[in-house]
Amino acid sequence: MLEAVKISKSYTPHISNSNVLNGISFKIHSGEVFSILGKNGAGKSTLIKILTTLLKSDSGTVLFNGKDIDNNINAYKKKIGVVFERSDNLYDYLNIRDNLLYFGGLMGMCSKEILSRSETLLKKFDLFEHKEKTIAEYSQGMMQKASIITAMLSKPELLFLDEPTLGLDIISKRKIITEIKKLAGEEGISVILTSHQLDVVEQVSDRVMILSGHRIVFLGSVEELKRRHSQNKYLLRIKKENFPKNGLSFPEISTINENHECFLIELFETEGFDFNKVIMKFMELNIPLEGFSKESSSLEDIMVEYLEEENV
Amino acid sequence: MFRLFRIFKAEFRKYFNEVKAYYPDHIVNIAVTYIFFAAFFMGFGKDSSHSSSYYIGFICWFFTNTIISEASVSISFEKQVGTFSQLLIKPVPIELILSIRTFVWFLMSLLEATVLMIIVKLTLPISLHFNPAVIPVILITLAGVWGLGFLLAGLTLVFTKTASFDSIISYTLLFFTGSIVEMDKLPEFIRNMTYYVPLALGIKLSKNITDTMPVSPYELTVLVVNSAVYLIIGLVFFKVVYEKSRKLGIITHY
Repeated sequence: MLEAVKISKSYTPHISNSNVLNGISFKIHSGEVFSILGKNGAGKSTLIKILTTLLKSDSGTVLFNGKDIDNNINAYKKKIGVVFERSDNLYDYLNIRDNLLYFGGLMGMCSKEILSRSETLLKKFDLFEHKEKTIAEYSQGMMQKASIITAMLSKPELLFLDEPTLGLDIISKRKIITEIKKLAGEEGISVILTSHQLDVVEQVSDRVMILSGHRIVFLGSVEELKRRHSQNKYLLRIKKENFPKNGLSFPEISTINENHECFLIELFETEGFDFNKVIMKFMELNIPLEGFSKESSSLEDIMVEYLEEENV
Repeated sequence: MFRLFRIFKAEFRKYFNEVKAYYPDHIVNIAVTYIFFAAFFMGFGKDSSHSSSYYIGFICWFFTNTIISEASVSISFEKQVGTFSQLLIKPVPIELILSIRTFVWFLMSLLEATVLMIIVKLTLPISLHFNPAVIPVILITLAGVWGLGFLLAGLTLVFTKTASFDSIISYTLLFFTGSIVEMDKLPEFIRNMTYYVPLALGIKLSKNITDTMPVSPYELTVLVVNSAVYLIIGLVFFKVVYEKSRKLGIITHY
């Protein structure tokens, strides 16, 4: 559906090695949620700007259904909806209905069509009751939903969401996550997402692309990323009175923290790690364990580790 | 055509919503314009050295102000609030959106000026002679001014805040085009520039028509060419700056 071929971009082309993006290529398939991840300055915003035609790349092409978007720019723009970061997507002195009538008009839609589609979307995103309020009167969550509704108005095939859940409460966040999943699953829309909220990325993404050092360092499913980089973690609890006075120095121990009644010992499952052997060591030293738990790495843990590994 | 009509309708509705949202400012603005019109018409209309067309230059300049500034003010405002990016990703060239927006504001200025002139005429002892034949001449003149609007809009894409550029163009045109100072009172080299400045020839021809003086086909042709050249230069400049800004990544910077 959307294909980026060898995209390079530098804001200071007269300086050598100043590329923000360095010949990156990838494909986004129909109906998938595709997340772009990376540290600040990794090139995510630059890439989104190129894909949404706000910025021109120095070299490379972006193809939509096999056609160069620069040669068919208005046809491409008809197929996309974009929610830019910070909710500055709407006129705050207008209500959502008037915003939709304005932006729908620019998309070439007639008023009847806009109002009918608006009603469906406003109900879907629980904003129908608030349609007469100006955007300035909306909460952050309502603004974000209003921006998504506006981007969805003309039934785009590609929806770009830049930090769609930033600053939202848990309920609004969950609602937006559910809707993103539905858009891709039921309506077949491809969603291109950027977010620093990795729990959101983990819940909605079919595939993730990690940018680092101005290139792609990972492209695949969340499961694949976890399979490659996940580390199991064990957490042991020892009562304070049972903790040895001269401390513990097992090589398997990663960190030791304490709360008001226990010491919390963290162990990572590295190569050759045997949990039973660790338990035996505690038994040999007559240190009773209060309890233990096993946890898998979250996407956030993996990202931190991944980017550290990439030496960026 | 339908598409153009829908964009026009969308801009028109947005204009009214904007007026509704900020109505105190608009009411004060109309009051200020009334005072401005009254002061100008009383000041120049009572002077026996002026002909019956004394007000034409000032009215042309009044419309010029709207046409020159609307696109650049829009870009600056939209960049500030963040909605400019949304306009740029719509499947309509940005210059078309800005042109339709300017046209809507021009129509509203025309309505405002007409109503205010009637009120001024009813409330003050002045005479305003109007010959409908000036309408096409004024419209051709304003098409050239539109070109200046595009030049300024292009500069706003790069520099974002260009209110002072707007002021200098506007006041230069007020002084050097016969809007308030009669051309025969200006130095010869300025009079010679008449054919090259976008507003001056249009004002001169409009005044001639109002004073029932002859207008030569040659002068009308020069006016059409002059306006077409300014419009094309403005549009080309805007497109070049737009593409350059897209390349440099500064198009949405504030």
